Amino acid sequence: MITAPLSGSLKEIPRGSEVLIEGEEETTGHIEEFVTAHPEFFRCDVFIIVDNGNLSVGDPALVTALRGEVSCIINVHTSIMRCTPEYLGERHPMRLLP
Amino acid sequence: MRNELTFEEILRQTRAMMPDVLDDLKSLIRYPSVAFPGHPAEPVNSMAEATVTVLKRYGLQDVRLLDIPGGYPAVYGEIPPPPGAPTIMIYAHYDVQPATRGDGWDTDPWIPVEKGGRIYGRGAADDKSEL
Repeated sequence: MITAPLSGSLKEIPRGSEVLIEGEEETTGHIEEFVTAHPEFFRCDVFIIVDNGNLSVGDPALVTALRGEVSCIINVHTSIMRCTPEYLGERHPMRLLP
Repeated sequence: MRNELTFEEILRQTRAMMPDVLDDLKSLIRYPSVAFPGHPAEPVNSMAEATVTVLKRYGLQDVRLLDIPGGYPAVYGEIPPPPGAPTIMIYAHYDVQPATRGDGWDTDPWIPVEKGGRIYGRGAADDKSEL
């Protein structure tokens, strides 16, 4: 439990804690718009996602990286002429299509 | 303020809290808080309220439901940082996947059962154990 260690004398550890428990993680969520509209709730130095099972009893797990998906459009500009890296250097992208 | 807590002391205090923590977990498993469309809303909202109660009991401040337009509320609470200290934000969720006995459960997924040092029930791990 994340809330229990926040109480008792453990709270003497000098840090602030903000807790957010979402109600729609398993299904289509609506929190994204809320985060955008209310950034004041989400300002922090460290963000911990507590959504993982321990591998064994007494052996806690910590999320250190996430897979995700990115939707983006990449524009690459290069010359309209066919040319080789040997000629213009490797930082000059080659055209692959005519 | 200097942190005088040793790792052993943190372990000791955490272990001392476990009986209450496990009682809370068992009570939260009983809410079939399935947020998928087509499932009843009442258990989800009740679970949100129960989460508020748990956060308050463990001393969080300003605990409240955040209205999420179009969806179920999120639960928020905080312990303000001392001056100059960092803020840690902790995210978890109180909704769960659907579960029926027909899915292969040996026990009722909405009734916590302790067997061999483990608690069985929907959300016992994902993610009510983290609350």
